[in-house]
Amino acid sequence: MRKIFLLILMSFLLFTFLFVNAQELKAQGNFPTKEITILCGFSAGGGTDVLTRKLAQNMEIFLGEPVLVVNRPGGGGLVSMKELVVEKPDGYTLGVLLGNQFLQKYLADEVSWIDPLEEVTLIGVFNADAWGIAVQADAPYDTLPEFIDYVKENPNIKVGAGSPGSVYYWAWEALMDMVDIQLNIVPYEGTSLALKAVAGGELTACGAGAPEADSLVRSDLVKMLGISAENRLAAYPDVPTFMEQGVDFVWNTWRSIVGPAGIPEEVSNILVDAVREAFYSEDYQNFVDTQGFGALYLGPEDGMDFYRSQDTLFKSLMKNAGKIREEYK
Amino acid sequence: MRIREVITGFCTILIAGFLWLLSRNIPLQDLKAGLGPAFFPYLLLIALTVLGIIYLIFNLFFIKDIHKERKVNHRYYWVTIAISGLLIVYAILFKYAGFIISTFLFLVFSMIILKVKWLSAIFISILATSGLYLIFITVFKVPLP
Amino acid sequence: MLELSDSLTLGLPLVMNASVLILAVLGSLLGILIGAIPGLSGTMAMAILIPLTYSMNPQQAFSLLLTTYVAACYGGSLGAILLNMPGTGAAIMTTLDGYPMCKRGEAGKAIGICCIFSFFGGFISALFLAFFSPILARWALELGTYEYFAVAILGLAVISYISPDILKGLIAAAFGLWLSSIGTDSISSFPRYIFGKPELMSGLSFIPVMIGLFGIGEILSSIDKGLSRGKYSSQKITGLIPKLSFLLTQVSTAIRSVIIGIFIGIIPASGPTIASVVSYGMEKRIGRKRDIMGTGAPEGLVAAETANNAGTGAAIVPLITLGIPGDAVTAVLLGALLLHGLRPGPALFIDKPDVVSSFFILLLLGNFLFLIFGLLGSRFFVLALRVPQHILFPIVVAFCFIGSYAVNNSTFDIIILIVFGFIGYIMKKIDMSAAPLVLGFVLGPIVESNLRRALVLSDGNILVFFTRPISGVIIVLSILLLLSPAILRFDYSKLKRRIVGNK
Repeated sequence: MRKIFLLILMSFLLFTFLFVNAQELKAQGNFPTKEITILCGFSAGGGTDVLTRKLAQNMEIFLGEPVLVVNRPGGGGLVSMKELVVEKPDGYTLGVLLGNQFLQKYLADEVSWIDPLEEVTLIGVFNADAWGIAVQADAPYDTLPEFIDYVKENPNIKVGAGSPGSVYYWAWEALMDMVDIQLNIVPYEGTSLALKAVAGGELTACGAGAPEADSLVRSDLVKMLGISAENRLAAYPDVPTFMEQGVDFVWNTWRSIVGPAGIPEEVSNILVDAVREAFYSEDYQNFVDTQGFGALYLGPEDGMDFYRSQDTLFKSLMKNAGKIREEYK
Repeated sequence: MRIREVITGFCTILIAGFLWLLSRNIPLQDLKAGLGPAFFPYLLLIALTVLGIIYLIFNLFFIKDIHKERKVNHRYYWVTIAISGLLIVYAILFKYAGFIISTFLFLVFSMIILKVKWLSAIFISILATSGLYLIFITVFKVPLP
Repeated sequence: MLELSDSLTLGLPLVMNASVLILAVLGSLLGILIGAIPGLSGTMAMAILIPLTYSMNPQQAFSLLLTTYVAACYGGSLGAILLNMPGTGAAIMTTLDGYPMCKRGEAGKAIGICCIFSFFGGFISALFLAFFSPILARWALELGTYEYFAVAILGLAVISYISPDILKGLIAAAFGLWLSSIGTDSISSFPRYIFGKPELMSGLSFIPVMIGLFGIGEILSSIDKGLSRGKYSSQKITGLIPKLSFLLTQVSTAIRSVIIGIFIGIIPASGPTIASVVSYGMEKRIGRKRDIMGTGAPEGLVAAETANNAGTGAAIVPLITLGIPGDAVTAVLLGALLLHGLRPGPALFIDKPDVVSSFFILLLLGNFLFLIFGLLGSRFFVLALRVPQHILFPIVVAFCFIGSYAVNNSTFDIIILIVFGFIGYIMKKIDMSAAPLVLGFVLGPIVESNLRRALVLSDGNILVFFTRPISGVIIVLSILLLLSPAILRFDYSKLKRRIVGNK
């Protein structure tokens, strides 16, 4: 009896060692020679996770090595970023950086943050989702200008958003700055809860992307006033942009792949190509279109310009709202 | 008066006091959003303090010690402390040495402390560690460290 | 559009597929196992399963996920009964009567009761979902911030009944509520008690807190008392299938619990855990056997298990009809739906009635499967009692570590696990029940954010909680529940004697 157990045990051990050795042996030659890990700062099943995993699948085809997505949720992605920036800049550990990292950089009260301009190497921006405004289906306004007029006549209008730590909250602030209206922003724990509050009559409007509101729109509970993109979305051709309505308001929540600062050029070039190829692959494009995600690709140079514009944007927004951290005042 | 209960009440008040100290920097009023972020913790710390005081007074003056204190068996005292120490070591090793080594060492040592024969302790530990490794890493692809 | 009569037939062809059925069986077994093993929870099961379902088609993915979800809710009761360690949050209430029954040598009876009534609750709730979800959706739409707050208050009102010592229970609950305020404040984004740790920004994770208190804490205190050597228990598993006459005595409790479970489960952010708390608290307040509850009364098991499984189907109502996840587990389900291009909401019922219908069937199937496997397999689960604790406990600790780590892939959660393990041990030492702490921790964010949001919405008018009919009724009910010990303990017979005179 004991002998059989020992036998099983030995084969277990042998198997494990062989497995480990096989992996060690491959670690020579050109980049990449082993699997690449992408730290995703949001839970499995969420939008960022789904999109990153799709991108990773297609990067894998280009790189010829596995690209693993590991979820490290917490702190709006900050946990994963903090972990990333101290990793070795060898290109084998990457992360997903979202717009809210700029928000955290400037928002007063924050006790921990990273500086996306300094502490990471940008590989590529691979997605940007437009923000939009959803209102009750039977509301007396159909466009953003009509809504703005309505707000000017009726003070103390309540609109839903995330907390001031979320990017959607600042979309309202940016809009208020731009068209000079006053709204009462009520924080909710998620877009779906805010949308439901609009449908149930608790709120006048809430910020939501076209895909998120789609199902409620089609059952005549809410309607979209418009979205803040430059062009209409392929999946939702009926939803107009604010620009068409004469309000030049563009707002994106975007996602990018980054590595720790100081990745050598020959390595980062390969990664940049991988992200670009993955982005333009048929599989990824199909996925983005059917799911209603916004497609945007920016390489490292354009991406850095974009980063800098976001940096200035959030800095000025925080300043106007009086929520900027002490040292930037 | 029951000694253990009095200490419990006293500690409750102490903990509440300590948490008050931690909460000093949280703003109570936030102009835009009505009640500030400190409202809820303050409310609870007040509740905790009041409950602690009631509990203390109640047990100091109104409860007579009819029940005998439960006899504490000191024989196992050191075992508990040793296992607690092992838990902490396990947690540290889990992060730095990875899942396999830390789990194996923890299982072996804790079983030996709990007086399992050392040969069978090692045997069971190897079996359990490799079993867990195969299930979670190979089948479920959990990225254990 | 999904017609009433079609809701269970339209999806049948989609489900009648070998791969879907095999995955359902696998999911059910996996759910029971993961739920039963202390340290591993339903939330963790979903978190690790979902990446595996990315490459499946929707029916396959949901056959695995839905059956795991309902089976884990039942499986949690096994750990609760046999080891006093609830496998999932929803099974916390089950420990209160389940473990005493096991110590009395009635483990088999307890498991049988749990299995049958979990099935009853889950099945009725799945039927409700299948036939009435459009109606329930309209109703769920009416419930808003004010009502969520009211239900959380109802949950808080019953906490005091679940602890043998009311004052200690309240202290634990207040501490649990305070713990929930750690992390970034969801209304103002102010970081509270973070000490510069990014891991604390999203607050303490529920799973390590619960596993620490109930798993590690329980193990440490067992070691403290001295482990029994050799065979811990040689009790025979008898009475697995309860007598019909017994079942009939439980009908009123079960029906009450189903109603409470469905009602609470529908409300987003509450889910099965709070459903079982409220149901158990109600039973302890108004049930016939309220005096012996907490000492191993089957009524307590029936109330807790029927309600938490009734909560599983109900928690899917807001998810599938409005796209709002009720708890951590349904949030994962939402992700899975989106991944397969299914955006939940009223439009899904119009576009893909067959897919929606197949989900209902899978949910019903999941309930049937865990009933069968639960009754057949319980003999094996009880073997856990025969493993010497010297060997069982170290392995359970390893499970607790994996279970805490795997939800967020975070070693920080391991630290939380250890800290709460020690807290749980100290609480055991001073006879303070950990259940109110965990429940306070769950209810805290709902109470706080909805109260503060409601005050912003109503411009600071607190009376609005009473003028909205549903929230008004619930809050008045909560107040009555809080005050009722005073009313019920009043000696009516004395009053009667004084009026009627001695006979």
